[in-house]
This record gives sequence, structure tokens and C-alpha cells, in this order.
Amino acid sequence: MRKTVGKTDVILLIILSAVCALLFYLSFHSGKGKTTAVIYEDGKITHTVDLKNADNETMEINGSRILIENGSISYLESDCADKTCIKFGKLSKAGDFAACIPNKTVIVITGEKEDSVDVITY
Amino acid sequence: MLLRTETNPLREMSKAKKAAFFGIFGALALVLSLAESLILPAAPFLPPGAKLGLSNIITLLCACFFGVPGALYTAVIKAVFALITRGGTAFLMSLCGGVLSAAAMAMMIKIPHREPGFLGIGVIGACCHNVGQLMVCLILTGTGAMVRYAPFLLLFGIVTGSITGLTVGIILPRVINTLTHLFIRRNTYEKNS
Repeated sequence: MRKTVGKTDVILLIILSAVCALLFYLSFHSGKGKTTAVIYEDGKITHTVDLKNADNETMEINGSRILIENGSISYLESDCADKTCIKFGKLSKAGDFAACIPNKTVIVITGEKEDSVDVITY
Repeated sequence: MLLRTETNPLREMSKAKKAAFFGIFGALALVLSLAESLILPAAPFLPPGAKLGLSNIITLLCACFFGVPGALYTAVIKAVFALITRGGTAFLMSLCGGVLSAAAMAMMIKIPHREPGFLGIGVIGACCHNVGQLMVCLILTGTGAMVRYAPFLLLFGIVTGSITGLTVGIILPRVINTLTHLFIRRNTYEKNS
């Protein structure tokens, strides 16, 4: 009968953990200098916000209200069923992101430093 | 592989017994997914959308006993339940992730090696589930930005997959025992009536 844990499993775990650590290192770094929030609605970029110089304001995008405040951006309210977008909290560092899938909106923070894993567009 | 097809007694059950089996296990899967959402509401430190994935235990068990169709059945049941309770988006995510993960786990179970063990299969199943959901998100949002979520998804895939895989490895002998007693042992009541 099949084992519960064997050598293959341990090797698999080690490899996956290494890949995971690598992905984390590549994706996130502190936003020195300019941080820009890019807002996608239905696949297209509709707003770009320079977070460091933005005024505190709220804006409406497809189905949700966004709060921009003190260099961070977040989903404030949304008309979607699961409200997962609001749980992303405040985005402020390069690499942070939030999304509302039912409303097809995504917010990504891009930073000054060149990312090796950058936004992939199709 | 756990129970070779030729000797797996569960496969020779009558249709009525199979219906009972799938009914019980389908209900178990739904109860587990409901229970885990009660135990672990989205805590602030968890990435949103992260779930324990306990119902994958059931998927894996069905894969052990009934192969790919059994595992797919579980995935479909969970997806339909998501459709009814949480809406169309949840349905798509559950369906894509669930089918991919069920197929991956079932195919790995079919390979008659002792390794990889249930831990590895659980991890691969959970990661496939996340990959499937990520693909749905990419298609729905129309942008590649969601790829940023990949590190979190991988991390949670490893953790939750380990939990489900280990659990299945530990409880499987007991489950076989119980199922044999429930479904296969001759029912002594028949003679009395």
C-alpha cells in the first residue's frame, strides 16, 4: 500500500519550498521612491495613481469604491458577493495587489526598481 | 495504488450501495468545506481566498476507491454547491481548481508505486487546485496582474496539501475497515426477517 510520507515527498516539499521562497523574493521589495498604483478594469488599465503625491480621495471603479490615502490604496466598499477585495487591505509597497474577480477589477502597485517578474499581458 | 481494481471489493458493490457511498462522501465533502469556513474565517494575516481545503481529503479518498471518475464526482459536487451558495464566480473557481486537482490526484493514485506518498499527492493536489483557480482569475480579469498572487498560492498549497495528504495517509486504513463493515460484510439482519 502507498506510504504516507516517503523520500519523494520530502524532496518534493524541499523543491516547492525553494521555488516559493524564490517567488516571494522576486515579487516583493520595499517601494523606494515612486510607487504607482495601476488599476485594471476588465483587462484594461483605467487609472494610474502616483501614490506618493496623491491627495487623499475616494474614487469609484466598476462596482467598488477605492480609497487613496497617505500613500496607500485600498478597496473600501464593493457590490460583489464575497467582498474578498476588501480583505486585501491597504496596498502601499511595490508588488502589493488586490482584486475583485466578480467585478473584474485589479489593483497592482508597481515600483521604481525593475521587477524581474513584471506584469504579463496577453 | 491502494486497492487494485481486480481486488477492490468496493467496485463490485451494487448500484444501490454505490449510490449510498457517493451520497455519504459527497455530503462529507460539503460538510468539511462548510466547517472549515466556520473554523477559519479570513483572518487578517491570511491572504484572502485562502482555505484549508479539508474537502480534498474526500476527493483523495474517492480517488483511492473509485479512481478518476470518483474524484471528479467529488469536484463537481463541490463546484455545484459553490454555485448554489456563493454564486457564479465561486462556481467557476471551484470547478476549474477542483477538476484539475482531482484529475491530478487520481492519476497519481493510479500509478502503482509506493511513492510519492499521500503527503506529496496532497501537496500536488492542493497546488493544482490553486493553479486552476489562478488561471480562471487570469481569464476573468483579463490581465496578467493576478500572477502576483502566485507565491502566496504556492505557499498555501504546500501547507494545506500537507495537511490533507497526511490526514488521508493516517485515516485510510480505518476508512477501508469501516467501509468494508458498512458495505461489504454480509448483513446478518436479512436472515431474521
